[in-house]
Amino acid sequence: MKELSLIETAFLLKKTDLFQELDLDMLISIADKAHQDIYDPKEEVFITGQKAYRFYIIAKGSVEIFYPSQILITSLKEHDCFGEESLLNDDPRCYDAVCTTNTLFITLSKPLLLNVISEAPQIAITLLEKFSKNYPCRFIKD
Amino acid sequence: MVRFIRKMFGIYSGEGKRAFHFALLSFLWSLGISITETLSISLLVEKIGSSMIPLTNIFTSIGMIAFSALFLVLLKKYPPYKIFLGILFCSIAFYIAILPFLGSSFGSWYWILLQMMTYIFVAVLIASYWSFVDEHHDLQDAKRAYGIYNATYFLGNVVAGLLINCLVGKVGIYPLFLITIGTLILSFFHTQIFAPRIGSIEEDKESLPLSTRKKYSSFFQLLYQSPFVLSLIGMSLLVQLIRTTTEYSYLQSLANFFNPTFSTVTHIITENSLAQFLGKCHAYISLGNILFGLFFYRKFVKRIGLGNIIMIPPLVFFGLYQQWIIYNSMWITVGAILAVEWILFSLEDNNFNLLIGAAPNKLRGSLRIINDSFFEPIGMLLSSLLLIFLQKGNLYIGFILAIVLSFASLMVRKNYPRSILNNLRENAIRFDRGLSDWIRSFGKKDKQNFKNTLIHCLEKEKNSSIRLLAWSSLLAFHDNHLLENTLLPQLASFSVTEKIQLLQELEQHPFAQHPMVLSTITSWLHYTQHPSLVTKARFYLAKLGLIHPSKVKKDIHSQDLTKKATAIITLKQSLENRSLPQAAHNQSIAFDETDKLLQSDKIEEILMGLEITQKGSSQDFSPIILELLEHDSLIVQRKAAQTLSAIADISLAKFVPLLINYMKKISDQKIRLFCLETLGKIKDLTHVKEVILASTHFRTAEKRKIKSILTELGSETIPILLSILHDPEIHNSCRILSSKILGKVAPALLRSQVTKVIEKEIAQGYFYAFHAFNIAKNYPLDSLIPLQKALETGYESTTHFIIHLLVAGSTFEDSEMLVHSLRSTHPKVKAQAIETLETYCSPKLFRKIYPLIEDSPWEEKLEICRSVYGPQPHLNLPELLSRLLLSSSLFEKTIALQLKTKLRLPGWQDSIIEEWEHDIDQNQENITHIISEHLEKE
Repeated sequence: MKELSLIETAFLLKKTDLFQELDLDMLISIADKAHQDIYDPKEEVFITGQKAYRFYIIAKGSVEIFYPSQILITSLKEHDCFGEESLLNDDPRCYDAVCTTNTLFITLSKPLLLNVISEAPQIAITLLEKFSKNYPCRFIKD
Repeated sequence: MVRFIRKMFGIYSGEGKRAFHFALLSFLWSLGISITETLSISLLVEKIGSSMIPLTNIFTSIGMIAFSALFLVLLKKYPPYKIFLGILFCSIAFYIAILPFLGSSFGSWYWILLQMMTYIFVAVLIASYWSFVDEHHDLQDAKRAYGIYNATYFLGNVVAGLLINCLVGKVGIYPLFLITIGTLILSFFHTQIFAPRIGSIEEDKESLPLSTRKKYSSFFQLLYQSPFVLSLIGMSLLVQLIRTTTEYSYLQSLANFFNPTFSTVTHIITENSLAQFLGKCHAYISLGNILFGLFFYRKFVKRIGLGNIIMIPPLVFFGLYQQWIIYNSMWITVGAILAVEWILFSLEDNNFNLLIGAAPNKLRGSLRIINDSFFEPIGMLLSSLLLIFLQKGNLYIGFILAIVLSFASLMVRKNYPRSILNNLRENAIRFDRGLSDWIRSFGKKDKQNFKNTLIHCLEKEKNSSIRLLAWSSLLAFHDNHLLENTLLPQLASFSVTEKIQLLQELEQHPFAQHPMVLSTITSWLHYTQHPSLVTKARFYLAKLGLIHPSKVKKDIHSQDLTKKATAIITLKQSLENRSLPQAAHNQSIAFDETDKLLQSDKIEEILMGLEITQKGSSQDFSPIILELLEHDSLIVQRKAAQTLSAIADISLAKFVPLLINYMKKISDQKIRLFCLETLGKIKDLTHVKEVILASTHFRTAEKRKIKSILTELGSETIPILLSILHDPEIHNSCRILSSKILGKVAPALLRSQVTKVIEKEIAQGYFYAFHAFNIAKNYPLDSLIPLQKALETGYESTTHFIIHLLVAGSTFEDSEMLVHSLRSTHPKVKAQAIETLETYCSPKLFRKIYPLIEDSPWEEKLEICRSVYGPQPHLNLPELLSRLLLSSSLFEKTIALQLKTKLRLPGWQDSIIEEWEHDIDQNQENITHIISEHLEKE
């Protein structure tokens, strides 16, 4: 699998829910600092209990999310992102992410993600929207 | 006593336990493994002779490479201390397994296996121990502590040597192997107990590219891409070569001196003189190494800097071989022993441990393993081959190697700060770069690739927003050929709405009046079936003055706003307004109609009125536009601000105070940026100070804009900027901004002023640190916690200010990135930023600021400050609060006034009145508002 060029990465970010509102200048700046990682089919991106360091955007391929273990919660496809929860709450990973095909990820480290959010606060709003959709009542705990 | 010991070893309070555990661990395992290291090689030679050594070395090298591969995979999944434990466990198990057979007459393979495994264990234990240590130390800690760990490692070696000398003749080798097993077991349990208890510095392991086979290639690619890592590995290889060559040379030289036939030495030479002499030398040098590591190395690094220290070994070897080629004296031979045993084993080894901290983040964890288990064996092999083939010219080989090592060290020296900088850049995004800046920064090949990708996206991408983005991005290349052959033909493939969007993009571009562009747009007037596109196309042409007034006059009262706007703009600035009276008449109609639109109640009409106003000279509308800045609708406010920025010139200078006040009130970033753009165009020097003062709570992008517009004003702003920089009553953020602008406008002048300002600020920082520490220590009252927090915040703010000034006054270009890294909560990032600052800042100033920016406990900071600046006057609570009331920080003032009121301290009413008057003077309602609320509650 071939890695993406700078502008391809920027365009890929534009296609995601999180970064679609950003202008190209900003997207290129983010793309310039983002990492690209290629994973094999069935390879674990991370597992429950691991310390979190990165936020993942699927550029090519697909990923399955298992929670609490071996129970398939959802399948993620191109342009979907995951892994932000543990970055924001500093808890260990609380689900497993496993690639189903050869998968190319664009990844952002925690300082980078926070840096981007502070420059473009609308990303935080989009994240909040995503979280509130999953948590209709935040007083209910697992 | 504890304090004295800490000071002697350069350990900060709170670090003692960690340093003790690591030092003890280093001693224990080095003691154990050194015993078997010596015994295994002796047993190999004794039992099967030296002829098998080359074969053993080959097996050892293969084994080490296999171990390093395994180690790298494990590193992704487990923390280094667990790997260290695993290796300790394997080594213990191995020595227990071989112990019963030590006396039996096994074949050669047994002794080869013992030697091979021992060598592998030594290498991987060193690598895993240092990886474990690295995980708990940043670069600045390492400068203080690594020397100690290295010294205890040597101590283990020395004790191992002593034990072998004392015991081997008396009790044989079994007890020595038992000591090895015992010390390794102790190391194992010691690590298991203390490692989980001490906090490690978190590193991003998810980015390690080592989880699959394919990723090994990317690992070596990373290695290849880092000039620093390449030069460091090269230097390490050369060190191996020069070490073997020098050892061979001094042994050869000593053999001649101690040979009774050739010796000129007058005293009696016995059979064991050489061994005794070497033994003594090793013992004394090892002792020296221990003392050097424990007490002197850290001071040495601090005083002359790591970048300079790395040049010492090559220079020593260069000088040594230069002399050795000419004279062969006993002193030079002793010098050679010193060069190997002290310079290489202690100084060079310590340097290498520190230099690894500058390797790229992705490689740092693995580099040590790669070097120790892969490149070092290669170095050994190469040096053996070199000496076998070139036995006679060893001194010349050494001389050449010393020269090459000097070059390699110079490369490391050059690449070291760059590598650190690149590491810092990994997490620092530069949002100040526009698309054009990016394109300019590319090389020819990258630029072409970038362009090709954009064209590919434009032609093949299904997502229309991406195609639109690709189209407008290609415009940024300002390429005629591209416009004619790709961009304009591709316009046809867009929908009507998208075409309208692209027209707006084109309007702002230098290609707006390009003949091919105009021809394409004109063709739409005739051939398109979509009235909205025709209307917009006419509007576009009207803005350029390309529509004849007679063709649109009827539309002046049209209900369609775009048609009406087209008519107004045409009347206003058509190139066909040839006769002066006719033009005046048309412009008068246009003026009245625009005025009506701007005065309208309907938002769409106001927006269109503003759009029209952006074209041609519309300064007469400035008062109305300024009023629209206060409109209820944010869209209108934004458009009004944009319009002002489009029409602004010096004639709007009278509105500058109004605009500055408006910017303070409004929080919308786009509006602020447009207002700043307006101020930039007005170029009014009389309000520079007000603009800077207004920026106190502006966002980063807004401050960047102020910096760029004031920089453009040039050297005339210097006196105002200097006055702001020197004024302690002005908010630090404004002073920082002034320093940044000064750094652009008059860098030399800023550098000459910065020291004076920083020295005052260091004293201020010391004041905050001293009183924050004393309040916490002497008055542990809940009611004083806010005061302590205010003092701590004041300290943080002062150090932040100093860092900004230091960076602005240095020759460093990427100042924002450095400041961001210096304030990072990640210790390794911060430590690297400090290292970078040390490179770029004047050494005198750096020494003064170092205690404040370093992550050391308050006591240490205060002690260093006390030694530099003398004792701080101890203020009592009322004095301290009165001092804080004079601060430029609103937070400190508020806390001080609130506490004074709450505690009913003498003069509290007067203070409130003073602040009240001050607030009225400054047209603010900050502190007194808070205080009156507080009083009302009471």
